[in-house]
Amino acid sequence: MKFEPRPADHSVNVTARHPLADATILVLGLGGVLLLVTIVLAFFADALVARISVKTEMRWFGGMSLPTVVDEFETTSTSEEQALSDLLERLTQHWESDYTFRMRISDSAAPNALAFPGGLIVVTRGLLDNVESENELAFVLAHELGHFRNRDHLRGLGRGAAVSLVVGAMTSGGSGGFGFGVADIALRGFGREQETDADVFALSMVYAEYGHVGESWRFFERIQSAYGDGNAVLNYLETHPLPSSRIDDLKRLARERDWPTEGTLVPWNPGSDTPQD
Amino acid sequence: MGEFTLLVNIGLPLTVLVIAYLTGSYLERRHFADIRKREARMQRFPTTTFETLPDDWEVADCELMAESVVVSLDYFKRVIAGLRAIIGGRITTYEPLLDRARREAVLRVTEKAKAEGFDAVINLRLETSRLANSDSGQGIGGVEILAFGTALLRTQR
Repeated sequence: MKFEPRPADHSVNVTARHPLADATILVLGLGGVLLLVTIVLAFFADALVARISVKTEMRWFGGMSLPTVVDEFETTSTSEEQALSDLLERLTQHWESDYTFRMRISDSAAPNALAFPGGLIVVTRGLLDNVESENELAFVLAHELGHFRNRDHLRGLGRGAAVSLVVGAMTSGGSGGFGFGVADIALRGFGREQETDADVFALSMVYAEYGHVGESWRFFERIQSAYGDGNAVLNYLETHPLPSSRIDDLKRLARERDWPTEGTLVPWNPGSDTPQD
Repeated sequence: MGEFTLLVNIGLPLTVLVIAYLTGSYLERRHFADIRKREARMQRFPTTTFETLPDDWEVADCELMAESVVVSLDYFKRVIAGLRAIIGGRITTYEPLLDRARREAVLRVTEKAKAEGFDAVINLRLETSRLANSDSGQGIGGVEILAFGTALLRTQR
């Protein structure tokens, strides 16, 4: 037999499918499944939170001071803190709940207010130093009360747990970053919805207290003029709705409910003894 | 605030992924083209896995040829393989890597044998070792293939 050398056929060892096709199927498929799992887990967490009564929450978290979350508290009980508590108490008269609220002032210069489990509300020095009227501050506090009414702070914990579960499952496969990205983005929509709900609640509360909703969106206006709306594409990924769209939503709501958008403003100047003109 | 963090968290890995894909697939195409050209050149050089000689062969000299090659994974291949590892199935991005390493290793043995004046390589064997520390998934991912065989010089008649 005459031997005739031929080139070997190597095609069997390498799958002909393009690597990018493989990558697309994997990323879209896995991303979709993870998205679904995160959303289902988040719904379970929400259902669980709905079964935890406010009384139970106060028992679990009532004594919590959270020094690790908020940098530093101002410890002195100033007239400003007293004024804040008074304002909060007036607002809570429009909403019956089992919560016992506590107010704290944080040293942070970034204007912000935060709601924590157990009825703890933290406002920053940066917010207090910049508010122009009590009405503006009342809206921000009422917004945090809205988070308590919707149990958002607890739902946040539940969803955090859901994300941790998904990330944990992915990490054992060596792709924790991918899992975290997907889970995080899946829950951003929820976050924005929560903010909008709290805004609606806050506006109704401000109306109940003052009889008008003037200056309610002053806080967002100042944020917008300071930071702008930012990049439109990146904003899709933000946890909070855009300041401009929040202002629009609030104005529309006031128009629909026939709430006056102008009225007598109450000055906010605790600490200074001379009344503002 | 979030824009910079987002850029670092998503943009940077994505850029590395694209660069890795482009460089990785360029180098792979170039390597395959090179392998095909050299294989065509070595086509008539007798290379077998038999342990025994043909009956009519008389051997004047023989030598062990052992050549190895190490080919690295690129980041793109590794990421895709990581995702694949979650659901299972064929890791197709690794297949060309192994194919390249095997063929390159065999070529190094036969080309060396030919360059040193031998007539054939018999009893060709392939070994592979794992360089990547696959326990933790860290470390440099890659493949090492060792090819070895007996190079023969026939007596001239």
